[in-house]
Amino acid sequence: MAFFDNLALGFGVALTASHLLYCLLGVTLGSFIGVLPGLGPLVTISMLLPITFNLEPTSALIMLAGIYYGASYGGSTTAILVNLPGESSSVVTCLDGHAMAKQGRAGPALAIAALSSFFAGTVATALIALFAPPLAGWALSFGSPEYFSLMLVGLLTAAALAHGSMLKSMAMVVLGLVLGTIGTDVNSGLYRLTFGVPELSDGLSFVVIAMGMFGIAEIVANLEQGTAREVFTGKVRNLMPSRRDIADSWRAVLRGTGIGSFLGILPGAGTTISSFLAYAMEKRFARDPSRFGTGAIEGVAAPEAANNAAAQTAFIPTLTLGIPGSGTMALVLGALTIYGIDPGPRVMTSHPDLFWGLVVSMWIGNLMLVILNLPLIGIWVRMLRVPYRLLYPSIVVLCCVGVYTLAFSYLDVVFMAVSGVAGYVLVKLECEPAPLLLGFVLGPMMEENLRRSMVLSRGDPSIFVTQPISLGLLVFAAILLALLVVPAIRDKRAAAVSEGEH
Amino acid sequence: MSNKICRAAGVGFAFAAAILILAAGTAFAAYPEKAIRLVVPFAPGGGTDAAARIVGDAMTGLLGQQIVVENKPGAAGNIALDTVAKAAPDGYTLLLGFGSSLTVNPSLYKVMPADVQKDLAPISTLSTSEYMLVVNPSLKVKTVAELVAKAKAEPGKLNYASGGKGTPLHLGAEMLKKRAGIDMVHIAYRGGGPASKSVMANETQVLFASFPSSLPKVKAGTLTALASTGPKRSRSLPDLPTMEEAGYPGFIVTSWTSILAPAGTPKPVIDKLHAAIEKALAMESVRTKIEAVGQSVAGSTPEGLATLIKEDIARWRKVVQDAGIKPE
Repeated sequence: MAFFDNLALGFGVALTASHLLYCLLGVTLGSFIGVLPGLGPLVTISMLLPITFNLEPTSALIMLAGIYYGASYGGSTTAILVNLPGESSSVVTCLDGHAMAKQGRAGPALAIAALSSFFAGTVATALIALFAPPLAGWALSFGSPEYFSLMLVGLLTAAALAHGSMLKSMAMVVLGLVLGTIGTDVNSGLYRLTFGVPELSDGLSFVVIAMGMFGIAEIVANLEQGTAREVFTGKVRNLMPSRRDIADSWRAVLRGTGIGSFLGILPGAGTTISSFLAYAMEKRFARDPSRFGTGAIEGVAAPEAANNAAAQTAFIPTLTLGIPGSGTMALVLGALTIYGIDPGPRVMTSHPDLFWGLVVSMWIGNLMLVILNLPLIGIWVRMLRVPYRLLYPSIVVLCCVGVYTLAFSYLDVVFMAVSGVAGYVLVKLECEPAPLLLGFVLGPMMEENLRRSMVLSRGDPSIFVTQPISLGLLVFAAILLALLVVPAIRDKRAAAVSEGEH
Repeated sequence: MSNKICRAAGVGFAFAAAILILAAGTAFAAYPEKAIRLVVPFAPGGGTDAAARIVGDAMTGLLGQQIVVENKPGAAGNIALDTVAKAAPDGYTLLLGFGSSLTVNPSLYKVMPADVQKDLAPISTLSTSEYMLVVNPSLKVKTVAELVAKAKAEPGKLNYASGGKGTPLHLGAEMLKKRAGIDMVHIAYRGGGPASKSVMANETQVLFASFPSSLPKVKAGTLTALASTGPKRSRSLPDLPTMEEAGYPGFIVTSWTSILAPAGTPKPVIDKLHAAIEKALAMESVRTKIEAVGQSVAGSTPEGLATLIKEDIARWRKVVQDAGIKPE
């Protein structure tokens, strides 16, 4: 029973007073920066890194990890309350989370986000503890063709993101793809659509567009209603989810956890995509998809579970392969090296106290987040009673500051403002921004991996069907497409037949 | 009457001028009087950012003013270059110059926001780091010569990875192709991390990788190291030959970090900053931290940095032209 010995070792390390304190410090700081729009774990960790040099490695790592998953957790709060994604992974949470808040159900939305995150965190931590090395091997078997096929599946689910016209949703995806091509093409190193603006050479920032299209557009749209209105006129009902809410969302939490855990292991796929896919899948397989976008609690539970699971399993390639899945993970990896710890397959045997201490403290940290956040829900919800003329200008200021600190570039603030206006126009045209953002995220990765695969195969497209994982994903994509197209054709035929009868 | 006014005005003017001169004198003597911005050309995380924060931290203690690290990523470092080159030359805006940004970009871009050699005042180098040539273990090659033989036996079959066009990872491999007369296909990735993963997964086979990211993988046996690219053997892998020892004299790919000010910054300010950097680099704590992020401490005089920049620009221009990389 080596596993339980290891777990005992981990609890021994994580439950010391100082490690508990660092864990608490990390998650508190993390949820705080997660709430602030634009300010992310990347900047925070890099600022704190020099300070942690003087700490004992395990303490430092526990704290840095706490900041990281705390932030992915805190991002959902502003998404639900004011339609402002604090982190890129919480964009999808806006869709139904904010709709719930508008109906006076901000409390249950926040609570279900917290609880599903906790559940997903627990499962993902267990996965790390039990299967980290074999799962890491799986990450390696995902090459360029596999990534391309995965992104294709992702893009097909985009159709499920919007609840209006399919045509408009497709148009939004395409617009997102175009916006995604802005910047330097990885394969050729050439600039595309940068119009001579050096700031565009690395492309538009996802956070900037998301904050504009959701948060700012929402504020602009609210201006129509005059200044006298309160943010939420509806009476705030109960703070905790009802029995029915739990019954509605537990399956979504399970599926979200599965999708998130899996995508988190793949370096580069990341938490953003996992939350998008979890949401899209949920809607795809829902008995009544029309509820989505209007305050379906599954629409909050699934992406929140997914992004938190992915945030945790992202540690697998980082710790066992030394391959960081994101910028923040690269920092954590750098920190490990500074502490003289070589990440790799041997980290579990060479530094068992650090590995198991970290795993256990991640679970404790998740528990702390729930304990910390559930009582805060009442306070957050009360914040919504702050008059509109005070609350929304402060949000705009916070957004501008947050976006500016991304790259110390005022142009990012301008881009956010433009996205805000564009987002408002799209709302008026009844086009939804979510498919656009999905296209924006997936498009560049899809193109990059498609072209790279073609270079690797020296121009032979069969590379996508001769690799078993890629083939499997393509078959799945074909099934998705069929599910999408067949009912539409059948409906049309039915309509034609019934017209003919008249 | 008017005479009096004139005289009064004259005295007043002289007085004002005297105060101005005095004030200017004390301004430089009292430098720095406020926080100093150190603009880093990359996003937080990574070796260059780490060097900036480590040295900046030490300089804060020495100068008695906060050194604020400001990350302005974009356009391979040209945005940060633009910011600093156009800033007031008063010593309150400094650039953390990364070797390849400053010296490769002039050959890689048709339009540069500033002339690296004319619009910046060099102060000192901070650190240097080298790269290592790694391959996938299944290739079963243990030396550079064996790799070259394998590549010659199967021309155009091997893939080499890079972290993007114009990065030292890319140019190092292009140098090898040219010097050894071999053909390998360039596969670009979004940064060094994914590039290194592709070699581990055998999607690509060859990579010039940074030391800190590859060392653990080499020790774990998931990557095979063939040579290091510094002028001397690396302290962390003393058994690994250099590219020069492997039969390629002059094959040196290193990158360095440095601090530069806008051109026209007064000499007393440059001197004061140089003295602070020199002291910081001599500190034991700075040395160990710099080494922990895979670099070696290396200071220089302002003139030494100017020469380094000049030589590297010429050297990389040749590599870029030989590789047939078109400027963007």
